[in-house]
Amino acid sequence: MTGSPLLRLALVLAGIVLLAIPALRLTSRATPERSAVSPTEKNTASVREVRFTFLSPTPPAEITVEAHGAQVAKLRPDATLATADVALTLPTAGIDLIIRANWTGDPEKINPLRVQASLDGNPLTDTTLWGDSRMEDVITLPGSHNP
Amino acid sequence: MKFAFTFLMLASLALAHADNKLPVASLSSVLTEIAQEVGGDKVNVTGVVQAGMDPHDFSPTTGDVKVISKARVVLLSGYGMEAAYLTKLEKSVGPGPEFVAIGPYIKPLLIEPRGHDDHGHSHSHGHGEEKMPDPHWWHSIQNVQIATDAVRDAFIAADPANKAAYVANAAAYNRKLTALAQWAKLEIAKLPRDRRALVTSHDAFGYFARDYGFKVYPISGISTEDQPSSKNVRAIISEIKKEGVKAVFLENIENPKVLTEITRETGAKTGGVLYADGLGTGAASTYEGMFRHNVTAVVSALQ
Repeated sequence: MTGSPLLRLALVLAGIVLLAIPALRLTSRATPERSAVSPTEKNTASVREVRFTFLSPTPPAEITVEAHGAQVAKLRPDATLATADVALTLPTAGIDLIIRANWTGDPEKINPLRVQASLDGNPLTDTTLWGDSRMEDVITLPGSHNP
Repeated sequence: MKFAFTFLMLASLALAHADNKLPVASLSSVLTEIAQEVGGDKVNVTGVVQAGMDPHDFSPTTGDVKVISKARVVLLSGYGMEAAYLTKLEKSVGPGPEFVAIGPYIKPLLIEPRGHDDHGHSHSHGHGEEKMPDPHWWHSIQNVQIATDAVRDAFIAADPANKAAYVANAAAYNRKLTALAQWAKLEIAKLPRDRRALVTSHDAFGYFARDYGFKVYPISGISTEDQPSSKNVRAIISEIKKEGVKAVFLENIENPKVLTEITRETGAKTGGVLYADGLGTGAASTYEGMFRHNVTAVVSALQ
C-alpha cells in the first residue's frame, strides 16, 4: 500500500463507519412508534368567521363565549338583540362552546337566551338556553364547512 | 328499677321502629345509594354487592341469600348483569321479596357480543347477529334519574304509607343529579370533540360515550370475565396510533397488564383509573364522587 498513512487511516475509518451504520440499524432496539400527530392537527380544521346572534327579552349584563377553555367573545348587550362575529377554528368533528350570561335584577327570574350561530348565512345552530341571574350552558357547532 | 324499666321500654320501642322500616337488598353499589337516598329513614338497605366488588363475577353466599330472603324489595341492575345466578337466587329465596330490575326501565344501548366484534372499536354496523343490552346504564346520569324514579315507585308499591317521603326524597336526589349533569356537560365541553376517544379495559362506558360524544375502544367485551383477543388488541393499537389517542384508562377492578402493554406500544399515556362497575372508595364512594372522578380523569388526560 502506498500513500499517506493518515489518508489510509481515514479511508479505513470511513469504511468501518459505513459498514457499521446498517449493522447498528439492524441490531438496535426499535423505538416504539409514537403518535406525533394530534387528532386536531390531523383532521382538517379551518378558521372561519361565525356570526352569533343573542336574543333575550331582558338584555343580559354580559355574555361570554368560551371555546376549549379560552374566551373567544364578550358582549355587553344594550338591546334585546346582540350580534358578534367570532373567528373560530371549526374542526371536522365539531366544536362545543360554553355560553355564559348574567342578568341584573330579580335573581329568582328565569331568563331565556336564544343563541343562533351561522356561517356565511347558513345556520349552524339555533337553541334557547335558560338561566336565572347567572346562566352557563353548552352549545355544539357541527363540523367545519370548507370554503 | 324505674330507670331500667324505662330504658327497656325505650329500647323495645326503638326496635319496633327499626322493624317498621322497609327491608331492601341491593345487588349494585349504585342502586344501594339510590335506595338510601330515596328511602331515607323509612328503609333499611343492605348492599349485597358492595363498592369495589366486581358485579360480573359476583356469586351470592348463603349469608347473602339469607339477607335477600328477608328483604321485601331486591334491587338489581338487570340487562344480564346478574344472569349467572339470578334464577337460582329467586328460587332459593322463594316468593317473598319483590325483585326489581332497573334495565327494563332504561332504553338499552345494544352492543354486539365480543368475539364477533374483534376489529377495534365498539359500534353497530349490522352483521345480523343478536345484539345484547349494555348493563352499565349508570354511566349516563339521565339513566340514573330514571332508576331513581323506578326505585321510588318500587318503594311506594311495597310501602304506600310512606309515599310522600319517597316522592320528596327522589325529587331531591334527582335535582342533585341534574346539577351533576350540568357540571359534567361543562367539563367535557373543554375537551375538543376530536380528542374524545376512550380506551378502557372492558366495554363499560358505552352510555357515557353516547351522552358526551366519545368513541370507545374496549379491550374486552362487556364483562370483566371476557378475555381480550390478540387480534382485538392489535386493532386497538393500530387505531390509537391512527387517531393519535393521548391516553388509555385503567379500571379499579381490572388487571392492567394488557393496557400497560398498549401504552408501551403506542406511546399513549395512562390516564388514571376509572370506576367502571359501580362505586369506588374514598371520594368515589358516592355516585356523584364516582362520576366526577371519571369525568375529571378523562378530561385532564385527553386534553
